[in-house]
Amino acid sequence: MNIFLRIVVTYSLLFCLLFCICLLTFIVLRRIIIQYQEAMFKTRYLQAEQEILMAISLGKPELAIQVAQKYKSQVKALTQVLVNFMETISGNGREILKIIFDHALKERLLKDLHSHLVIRRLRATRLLGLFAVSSETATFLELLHDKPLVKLAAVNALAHVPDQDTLSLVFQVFEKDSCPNIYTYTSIIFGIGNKIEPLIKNYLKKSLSVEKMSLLIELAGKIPLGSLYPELLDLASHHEKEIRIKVAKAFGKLLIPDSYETLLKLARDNAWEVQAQAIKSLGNLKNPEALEILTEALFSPFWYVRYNAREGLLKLGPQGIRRLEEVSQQKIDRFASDMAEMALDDLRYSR
Amino acid sequence: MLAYLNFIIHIFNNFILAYFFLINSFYLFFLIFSLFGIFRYRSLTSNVRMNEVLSLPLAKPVSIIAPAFNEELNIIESVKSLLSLQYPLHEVIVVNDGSDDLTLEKLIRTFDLKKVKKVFKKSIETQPIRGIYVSPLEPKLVVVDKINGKKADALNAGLNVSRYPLFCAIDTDSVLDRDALLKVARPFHEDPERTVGAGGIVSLSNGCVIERGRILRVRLPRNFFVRFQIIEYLRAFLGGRMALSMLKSILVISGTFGIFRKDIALQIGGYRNDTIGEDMDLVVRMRKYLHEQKRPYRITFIPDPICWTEAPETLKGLERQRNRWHRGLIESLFHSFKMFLNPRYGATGMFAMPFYVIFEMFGPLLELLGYVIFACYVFLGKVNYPFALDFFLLAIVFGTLISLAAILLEEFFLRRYPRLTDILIIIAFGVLENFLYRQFLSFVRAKAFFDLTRGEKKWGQMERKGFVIEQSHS
Repeated sequence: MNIFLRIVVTYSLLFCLLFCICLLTFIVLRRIIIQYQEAMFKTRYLQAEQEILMAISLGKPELAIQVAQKYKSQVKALTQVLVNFMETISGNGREILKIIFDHALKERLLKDLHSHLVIRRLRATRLLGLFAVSSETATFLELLHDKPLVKLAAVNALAHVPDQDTLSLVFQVFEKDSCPNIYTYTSIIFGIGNKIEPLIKNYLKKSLSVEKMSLLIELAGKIPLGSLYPELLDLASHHEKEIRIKVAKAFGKLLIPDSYETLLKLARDNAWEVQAQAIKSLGNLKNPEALEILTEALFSPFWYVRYNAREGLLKLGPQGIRRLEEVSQQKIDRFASDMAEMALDDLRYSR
Repeated sequence: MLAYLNFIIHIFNNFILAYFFLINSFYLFFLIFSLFGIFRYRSLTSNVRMNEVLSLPLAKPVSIIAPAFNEELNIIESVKSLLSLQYPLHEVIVVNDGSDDLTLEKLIRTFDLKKVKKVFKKSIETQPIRGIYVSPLEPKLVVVDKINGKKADALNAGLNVSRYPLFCAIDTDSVLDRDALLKVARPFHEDPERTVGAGGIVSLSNGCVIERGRILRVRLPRNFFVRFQIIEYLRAFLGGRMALSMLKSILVISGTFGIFRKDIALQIGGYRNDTIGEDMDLVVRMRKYLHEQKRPYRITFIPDPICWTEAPETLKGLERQRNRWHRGLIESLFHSFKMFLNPRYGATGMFAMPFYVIFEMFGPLLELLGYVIFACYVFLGKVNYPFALDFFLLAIVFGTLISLAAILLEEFFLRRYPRLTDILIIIAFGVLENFLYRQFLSFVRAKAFFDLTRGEKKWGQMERKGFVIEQSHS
C-alpha cells in the first residue's frame, strides 16, 4: 500500500510540476502576445477609423467598398470601428457604414447565424441587428425559435427595423412568448418609440396575461402615447389590481387633464397600492383641485400613500406647501405631521 | 498495543491523504468550471454596452448602504466614489455607527450636511438613531447617525431608512469601479422575478492610486502580507465563487460589495445582530427561507464589477480579520445547520452546506491537526521521510497550480495588473505563501473555534492607512 501511495504521490508531483511550468509559460507568453496584439489593434483601429471617416465625409460608396476590401481580414478592429460609429453617426453616414459592413462582415456573420455555438449566433445576431434593413428581416425569423438569449437578440434586431410588418412580428413573438422576460421586452419595445401606437392599441383589446398587459399600459405612459387614452380609461376599472396600478401610473405620465376624475376614483380604490399610484399621478397633474384629496391622503394609514401625497403637495407649489405647514402643526395624527415636516425639511435643504 | 497504535496511524494517514486529494480536486474542478463560466459570461456580454442600462425605462433603483465605524481616513473618498457611480437612480445611505473619531464631523463639513426629521418605516429593530442628515450639495446622500450596535445593526438601520427596492451593502473603506453597480445589478434586470442577490469581485486597493473616488492606477503594493492576500482573493473570487455560483451553491456574497432585494431581506428580518459574519448569514438565511417558501430564486456572482477594498497590512490586523471571518462562517453554518444534507434544500443542502462545513469550516482544523500529528510522528520516529517530502512538495506544487490557474483566469478576463512583472510577483507569492503564511492562516482560523466556545464576539478593529490619493499638479 505504501509503495502504491508513494508511486501515486511521486507521479502526481511530477505531473503537477510539469503542468505548473506549462501554465506559467503560457501565462507569460500570452501576456507578451496580447500586449503586441493590442498595440497592433490600436494601430489598425486608428487607421480604419480615419479611412472610414474619410469615406463618410466624401460620401462615396466606391471608397467605402475599397475600405471594406482592405479591412476585411481585420475583423476585430473593423467591427469595433463600425459599432462605435453606428452609435454616434446618423443620416447618410450610416449608409456608408452599411456598405462597408455588407462588403466586409455580413457574409461571415450570416454564416455564424447557423453556428452550433450559442455565443457565435448571439454575437452575429447582435451585430446584424445593428445594420439590419426591412428587406433583411427574414434573416432573423428562424432565430425566433432559438434559445431565449438569441431569440431576444433577434427580437431586438427586428425592433430596429422601422417597418410596420416587422413590428407586428415583434408583437406576435411577445404575445406567444410563454415565459417573457418583461424587462428585456420593455427595453426593446420602448426603443421602437411611438411607431408602435397602433399595435399597442390593438393588443390592449386582446386577452393577454396581466404582466404583458401591464407592460403595454406602462409603455403607453412612458413613450408617451396620449391617443391611447380611451383604451386606458376602459382599463381603469379592470378587476386586476396590477392593471389599475399601471393605468394610474400611465395617467401620471400622459398628463391628460381629463384623467383627473378617473384618478380621483382610483385614489379611493380598495387596494392601497392603487391609491398610492393614483395619488402620485394626481400630484404629477398639478391640478389645484387635487389639494383636498392630497391632504386627505397625508392621513392615510399607508406609508406609501402618505409619501406620495407629500410629493404631490410639494408639486402644487405655494398652495401645497401651505397645506403641508398646516398638517405639520396639527397634533391629531403624528404620522401625517411627521410626513409633512419631512417634506418641508427636504424642501428647505434642496434649495 | 503497538499494533493498535499502528492501525490508528494508518487510518489517520489515509484519511488525511483522501481529504487532501478531495479538497484539491474540488478546487481544481471549481477552477475549470470557472474558466467555462467566465468565458461564457464574457461572450454573452460582448457587444453589450453597459451604458444601455442607463437609458432603460425600468432600471430598478438601488439604495447603497455603507455602514461606517471610525472611518475618518477613507470616508470622504469612499462617499464621493459612491456618489459618482453610473446608475439611473441610486441613493447613498452612510450609517455612522457611533464612531468616536471624526467620521461624522468630516461628512458634515464636506457635504454641508443638515439634520432633518426624516420619517421612515422601522421594519427592523435597531439601536436608536441620533439623527438623519441630508446634503443640499448632494441630493443622493443621506447620513444616518446612530448609537453603536455593530455592522449588522448599522445595515439594518440603513435598510429601514432606504427607499428603493434593491439595496447594495458596501464597506466604507471600499471604492467601486464607476460601472460596477450597472454590472452587478444586471441580473436583477435580466431576471427580475428570480434574482434575489448578486455580488462582484473584491480586489485590494492597497498601493493603488485613487482620485475623486476612482481608481486611477492599479499598482502592486509593497507590503508582503497584502501580496499574499492578492493571490488569495484571486483564488477565492475567480476560482471559488464563480464556480459555486454556477453550481447554485454560493453561500457568501461579500459584505464589501453585494446587492440584494430589499423585500426578501426584510422578510427574513434583515441582518442578524448576534452574528459577526452578517454577510454570509444573510445569504444562507435567504436561501433557507426561499427554499422553505418553494420560491424559485437565484443568487449570482458576476465576475467583472470590481470593488476595491483595503486589506490589513499587519499580521495582527490579518489575524483579527481572518479569525472574525471564520467565526462568522461557523456561526452562520451552525445557525442554518438544518439544511445540511437535507434534500429539501436542493443544491444548497446537498452540496453547498456539506462543502462549506467539511472543507471550509473544518479544513483549517484538520490541516492543523495534520501538522500536530506530523510533529508527533517526528517525535516517535515514525516518519517515512522520502514519502513525507514528496507529499509536502506535492501540496506546494498543487497549491501553486491552483494559484496559477486563478492568475490565468485573471489574465483571461480582467487583466487588472498592467505589467508582466506584477504577474510574475503575484505568481512568486503564490509559491511563497505555502511556507508559514498558509500555516499561520490555518492556525488563526482554527483558533476561531476556541474563540467561539469562549463566547468571543469581538469585531476586531483594523488599522487603516487610507487610500493613496493622486496629488493635483496644476
